[in-house]
Amino acid sequence: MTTPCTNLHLFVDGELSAPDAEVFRQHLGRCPECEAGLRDLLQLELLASRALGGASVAEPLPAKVTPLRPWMQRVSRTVVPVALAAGLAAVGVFRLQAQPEAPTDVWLAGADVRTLEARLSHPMADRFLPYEPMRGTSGAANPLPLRPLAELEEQQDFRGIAAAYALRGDWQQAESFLARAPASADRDNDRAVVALSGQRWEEALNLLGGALRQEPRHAQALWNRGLALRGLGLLKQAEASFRDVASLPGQAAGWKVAAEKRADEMRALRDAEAARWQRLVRETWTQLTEKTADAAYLVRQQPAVTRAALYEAVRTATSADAVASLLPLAAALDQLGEGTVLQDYVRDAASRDFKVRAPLAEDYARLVKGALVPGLLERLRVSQETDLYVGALLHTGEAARDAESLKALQRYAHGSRDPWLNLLAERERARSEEASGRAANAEHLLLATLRTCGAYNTLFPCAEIN
Amino acid sequence: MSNLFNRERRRFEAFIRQHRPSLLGLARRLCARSSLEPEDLVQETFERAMPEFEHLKDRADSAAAAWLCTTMTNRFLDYCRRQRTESRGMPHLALVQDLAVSPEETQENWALVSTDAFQKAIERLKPHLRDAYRLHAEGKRYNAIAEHFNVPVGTVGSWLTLARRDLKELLLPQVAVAREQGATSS
Repeated sequence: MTTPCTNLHLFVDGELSAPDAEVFRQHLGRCPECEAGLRDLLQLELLASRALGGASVAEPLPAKVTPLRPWMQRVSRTVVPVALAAGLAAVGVFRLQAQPEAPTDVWLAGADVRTLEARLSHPMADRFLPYEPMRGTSGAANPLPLRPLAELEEQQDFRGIAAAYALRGDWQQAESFLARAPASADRDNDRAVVALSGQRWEEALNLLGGALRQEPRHAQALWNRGLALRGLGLLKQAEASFRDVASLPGQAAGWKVAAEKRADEMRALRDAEAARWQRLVRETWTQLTEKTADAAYLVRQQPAVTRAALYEAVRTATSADAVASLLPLAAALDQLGEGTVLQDYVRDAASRDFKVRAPLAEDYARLVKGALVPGLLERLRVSQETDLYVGALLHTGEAARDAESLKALQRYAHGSRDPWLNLLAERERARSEEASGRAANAEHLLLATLRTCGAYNTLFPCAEIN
Repeated sequence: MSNLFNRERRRFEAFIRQHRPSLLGLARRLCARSSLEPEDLVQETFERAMPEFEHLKDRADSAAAAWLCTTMTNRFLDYCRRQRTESRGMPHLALVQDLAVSPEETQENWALVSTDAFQKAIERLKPHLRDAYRLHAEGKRYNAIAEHFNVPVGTVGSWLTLARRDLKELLLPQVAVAREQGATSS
């Protein structure tokens, strides 16, 4: 009867039967003496094979060594490990042929949540999972296995490599590999994901526009477009893009539901923001008309709301004195920007004939509170009180529906030299384009208007452009 | 940058080409009649070598070989432990360790033994032990060696065990000398 320990040499020499070898392997796991003996024995055997060039270990090296192209255009901390992985892949190429597919953990197959909000085009990186934003952790928790990386490089799957990096938040690497991928809607989509990661919304939108021109029903591009538009504050357009995703056939049910949910969120957010804005303006307008406002505080704390409330206060004032009393506030707001447009406006309004203006101003006040007196728009149109007419057009959205109204609005805004009124006129023009079915034009106009608005810093409520 | 890439890649390829055949020979014996693929064991070993290559590439061949051997042995023992645990239906997480070793943790005695020293040592073995071990190192199985010497198979096992014991005794004292020389020269 032999103890398993006496079988160490026979085991190492491959002389045990299959069952005995199996017993010995199990024994090895719990016997420190055999473990130590095995370590020594293997070192000696390796030395012998190196010194004597044993035939048992002669192994024809793979004849086919795939040449790897030089890659990595710039200095990078991964160049050496990736080079080694490439070396391993080249020498071990026969192994790779036996197992051509890359392990799925390259794309975090084991994950149960998604930490990337955007969608990558690579199918392995676009499985539906519940979204959970990163909480202070980085991709380092999931180091990228290098061998599969080299395999993907062999297959020239640059989008796959970029996706692996992107999932780990290594955007620089992702970008450099995407630069090497052939042009396609998928590549543009993934480049947009990189842009989104840096909150470069417009760049992302341009790339996605290109992707969608090639493939109008590109699910990932439509989804990412929703994210870019949301980032720009174009919530209505973002909602439409998510609805488009939800309506696409043949996709994972999870994505469809998630897209619907996003679209609903965009709508809710837009409604909530609009309601909040209207409430704030109305409250401030009330304070101004009731003379309870702390003008200095308002100008300092909420200049955009105060500006909007000032227009309403001027429009709804029923006497020259009431209008003139708003002059200091107009001057204070003018000081934040440049020029005297608000003071000019207040002076002009104060000089009106209030026998004619007062009744119209009263009906306009009802409109501000939400009640449109029948025929008011037409009465205002034919009156000389153009500022009230323009205010009513903005409240009712008439300018987006009627070309003549839009022209009137644009003429007034232009003549006033008031930048905010011009921005609003542009917004109405964009809405008019959208109402006429020219959504792309509308988006283009809105983006241009937003850019202009943004240039005024916090002076104007750019969210109102949406 | 592509130059650095290519240079590193070529160096690592050369490193693999140099050491892979002997490692694979050992791996085949360890994995015989098991579900573990020898090629996988060797491939994993070189994967472990990648992050350490910066240190390994400038070391003596004997040291690099010893490091690879230790690493491969660790991988293999890891496999044995895992298999044992799984066969007993126990959760294996606690037992499965990632046994990559740093260059400093290798079996340093063996890292100092050169192939020249080995060749000198084997010449000092008793003739039948030396010849049996040479045949074994050439890849002959026990029964082929037994046939060559016209002895029972069991005798071959004993001779090889004795040869290894003697080789170890001849080689490892040299390590102490080598270490002393290293200490005086540094």
